Amino acid sequence: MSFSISGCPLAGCIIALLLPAAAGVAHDRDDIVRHLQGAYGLTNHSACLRSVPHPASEVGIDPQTGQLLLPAQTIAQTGSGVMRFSRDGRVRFSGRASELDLNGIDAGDVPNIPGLTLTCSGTHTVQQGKLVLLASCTVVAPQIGASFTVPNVEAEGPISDDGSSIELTARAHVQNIQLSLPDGSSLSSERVCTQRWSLVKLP
Amino acid sequence: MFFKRNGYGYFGRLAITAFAVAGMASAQDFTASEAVQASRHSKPKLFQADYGFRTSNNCVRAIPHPPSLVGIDPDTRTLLLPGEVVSQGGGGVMHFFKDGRLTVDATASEVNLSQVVPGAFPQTDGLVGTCRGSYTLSSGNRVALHFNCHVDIPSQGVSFDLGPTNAEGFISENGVAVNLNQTDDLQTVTLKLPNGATLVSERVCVQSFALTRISSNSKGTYSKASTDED
Repeated sequence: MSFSISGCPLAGCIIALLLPAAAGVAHDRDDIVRHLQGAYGLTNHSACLRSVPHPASEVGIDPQTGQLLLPAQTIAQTGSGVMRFSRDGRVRFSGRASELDLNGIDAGDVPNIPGLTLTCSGTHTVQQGKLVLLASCTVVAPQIGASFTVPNVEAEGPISDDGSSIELTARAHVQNIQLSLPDGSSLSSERVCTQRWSLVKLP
Repeated sequence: MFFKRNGYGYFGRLAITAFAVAGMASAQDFTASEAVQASRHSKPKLFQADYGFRTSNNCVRAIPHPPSLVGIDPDTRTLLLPGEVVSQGGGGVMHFFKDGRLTVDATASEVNLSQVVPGAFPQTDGLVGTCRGSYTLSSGNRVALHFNCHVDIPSQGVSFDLGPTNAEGFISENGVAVNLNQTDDLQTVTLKLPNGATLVSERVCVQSFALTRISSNSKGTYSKASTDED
């Protein structure tokens, strides 16, 4: 533990006391599991391949092999907002997002879906300078009256030494999507993505 | 042939990136972190610094067409002409000036994801972009950029203008890191061919920028150009 208060030399104690408490996690280079506290500005960029929506009784992507079992489409998304970490291990996010349907390239298609609202909640841990995030996210598309939930978002990545920035990437796994339609019905879909989240510490 | 999805000449192998300016003013010389601190409780202050950055995007764009046609409806975002998918990446330096102006020097490359048949040339590299624009800071460490770009592709002897690029995001408390995403704007690419002809293409993109401060005193220069905004 680099900056242990107990038993430290005087100079080390002074340095430890002067370190910004807001960083919250800056010195976690040991095996102790800790939590962040505070707000971070977040931007993300994703590219996904997702199966076409289907009844819950079907499977679009095999969760074990990753094989596509139904037709799929390619999408790209960006989002931004504020992620708030609590010392009890909770995490919440609220922001907005845009989606681009990369298959929508024929005349008459509308490939861009702007104005999505995005909320997430979940848990986090910090160990050895790395943040691990497990969350459930809901995306609402007001213009089409639909929403979808991704219950198993998993990401991890390094925290800067001073705690001012974090870079996360999604763990490679099949994400499940529950789609709620305006008529009250629901459909399922699965997706595999490359996703990156960049966070900077806010006051 | 303008509407041929594969092998239609210059523009199908173009990439796009870039950045540009307009000014405002706050004469005090703030560092980025001081500016962030000041923006919390009072009128946002601006700063002077250089940031190295990387950017990547995914776009659907209408194939190049004469300016008399419209490729994407600006209101409904419906494609009115065939489109294609491109992915671009690049980086460079963004120069922030204390009067609110911004310039960008960037290089980029592109992969045309619609060019998947034998004989196609899906990759274009060596794009050199210069951009001018402006930036603002607001409460909550929020940053907004606006710029327009001119991009040269020396290997093909063509160039294009791109804009607007509007991006919003956050600057860290210490001013070292900035993360931004492009907002939901329809962008227009105006292509200048070697024979003097002009083609136009509209595009919708998702794009992210990641910036790291490399100098607290901007080394960039800003000169008034015809593409500047007032």
